Amino acid sequence: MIEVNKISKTFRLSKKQMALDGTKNKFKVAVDNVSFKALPGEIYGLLGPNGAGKTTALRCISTLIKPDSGIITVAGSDVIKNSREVRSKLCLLTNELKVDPNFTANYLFTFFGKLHGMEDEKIESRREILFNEFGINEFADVKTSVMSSGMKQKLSIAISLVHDPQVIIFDEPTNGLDIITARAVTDYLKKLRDEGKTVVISTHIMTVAEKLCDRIGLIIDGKIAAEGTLAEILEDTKTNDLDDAFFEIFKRSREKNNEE
Amino acid sequence: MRNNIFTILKKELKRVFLDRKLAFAVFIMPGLTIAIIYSLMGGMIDKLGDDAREHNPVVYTVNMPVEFKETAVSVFGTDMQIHVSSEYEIEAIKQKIAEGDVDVLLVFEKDFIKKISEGLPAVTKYTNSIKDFSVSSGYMVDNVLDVLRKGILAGRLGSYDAVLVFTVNYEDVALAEEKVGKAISMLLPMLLTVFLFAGAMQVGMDIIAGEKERGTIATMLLTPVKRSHIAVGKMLSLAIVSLASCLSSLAGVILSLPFSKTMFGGGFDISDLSYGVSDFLLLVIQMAAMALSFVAIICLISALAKNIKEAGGYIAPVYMVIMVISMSTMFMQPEGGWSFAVPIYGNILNIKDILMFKHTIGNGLISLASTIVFASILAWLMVRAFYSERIMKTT
Repeated sequence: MIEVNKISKTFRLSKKQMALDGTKNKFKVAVDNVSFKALPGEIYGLLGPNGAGKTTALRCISTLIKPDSGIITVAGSDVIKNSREVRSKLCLLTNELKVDPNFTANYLFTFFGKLHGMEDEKIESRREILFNEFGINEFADVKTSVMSSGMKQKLSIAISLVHDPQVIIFDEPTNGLDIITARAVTDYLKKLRDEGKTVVISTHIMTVAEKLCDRIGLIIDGKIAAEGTLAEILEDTKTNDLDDAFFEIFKRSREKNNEE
Repeated sequence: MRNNIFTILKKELKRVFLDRKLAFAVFIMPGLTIAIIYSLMGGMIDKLGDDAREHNPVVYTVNMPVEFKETAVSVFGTDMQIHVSSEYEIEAIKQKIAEGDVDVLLVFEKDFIKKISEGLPAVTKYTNSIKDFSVSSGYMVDNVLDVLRKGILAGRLGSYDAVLVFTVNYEDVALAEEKVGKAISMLLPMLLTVFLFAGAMQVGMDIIAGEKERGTIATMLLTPVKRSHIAVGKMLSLAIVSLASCLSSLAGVILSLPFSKTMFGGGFDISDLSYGVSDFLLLVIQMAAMALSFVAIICLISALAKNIKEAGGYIAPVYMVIMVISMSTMFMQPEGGWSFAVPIYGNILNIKDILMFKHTIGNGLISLASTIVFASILAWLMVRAFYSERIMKTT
């Protein structure tokens, strides 16, 4: 289970970033007092436009960065006080995570297994499961530098899951993937959920959220603007699909901001 | 903890050995380059000397007294080609000297020998300082003039001994091995330093800044391994790689010695090279200490840089400074013990002293202690950088 309780994160912007954002403010509040809970056996989706704060929230959960305030626990462990324990319980998958081009799939899988403190036997059994699942056996001894981007993505997923984590976080799971690999990934996420794992994804694609997520948190300008199951959100916004619901919530959020 | 550091160290070493081009550049290239440079330069210096010896000086003279030619023949036999010309041809001959066709022009005053008993007649020597043969021929002509002068003086004073007044015996108390050591310690510490830094630089930029650039470091940071262990594992692997690279340089020097004697000052026998196992051990210890400093500098810069290009930009001026420091030890003698406490500079001085058989354990320990303090501070800063969100931008 993941419990995110009133976390905030502010970044200092470089001059270049200030120019890109068209702001004179040196600081940007990426995540503002965000709280949500993701339970075992469900896929929780953080849905929002680019720059809304989805990735920042996921990076805080996975201990890559520290929130300025608030508390996050992953399977009962605090991300700041017990960050190593948290990392042994979760995995973060993102298209930004690359595999070293100088090694083979087999070598990298064993290497990361060892960094997770796994015994050789356990690594081998996980290799069998994950390499079969993602069809990596065919290119297990190929250097990643000569692999296609689809192969690399599959390997990256397998490496992240080497330690059989209880919590799986996936930032934009289908970004940059071809239709077949994207389907394989979403099917596997459902399988993990069915095995009782806690799965959190971030996406800006409404159809992905509709098809995949059991519960959705809509994040706009760093704040959770709405939360619930798909049915609850549609009912609340009196719309027929998530696309329309999102724009309704986006409109309300901007109106609220203007009032404030 | 040790297991994690060892796993990372093994991976980094494997990465260097798997990349044939990188392995060649780091382990084979330095030794090979040194061997080639030394052999080529030694050969060139030899050839330069041989050419000067084989060249027959072309000397033109105006108003030449016959005594000059007789003296030249008695000193150099027929090797010196002496031509007689007139005052009208002086400008044309000077032009030929400028072009390198003639080496020396000597213009004697008219009735030169006769005027010696009356006063102080002059002889003007024209040479070209940018032409090697003209310079060496000029020295030979000086030699002939000196013998001629002493002969005339001997006539005046009655005997040749009266001209010499006394004789000087030259004795060198330096041992043969010390002379070899002095010659080798001139250039070798500088070359070892430069190659050590260059070897560490190539790999160091790749294993940290390269991983940041490729986005592969984030995957490692997501494992339960402490960031400090990742940093130490990378540093240790780089230290091993750079030390191996330096040993290759040393091997290159030893292999090239037979071909590069002249470059080390010549005149010594390879059998005079009497470094013992303890000398090599001390050398390796000082080289390892220097490698540690370099690795710490490079790792810190590499951790602070966003990518390899940026790291290269920061490391280039440091490389220049290291070169200047190493070159300064070629000419400067240390003032006192404090010099050995300066990181890197102290290591180079120790290497120089080891090669010259002058090394003291005290100075060696001072350098090692200062290296450990220096490298530890930089390593601490590097570990801090690994924990910094701003520096370790992970996605």
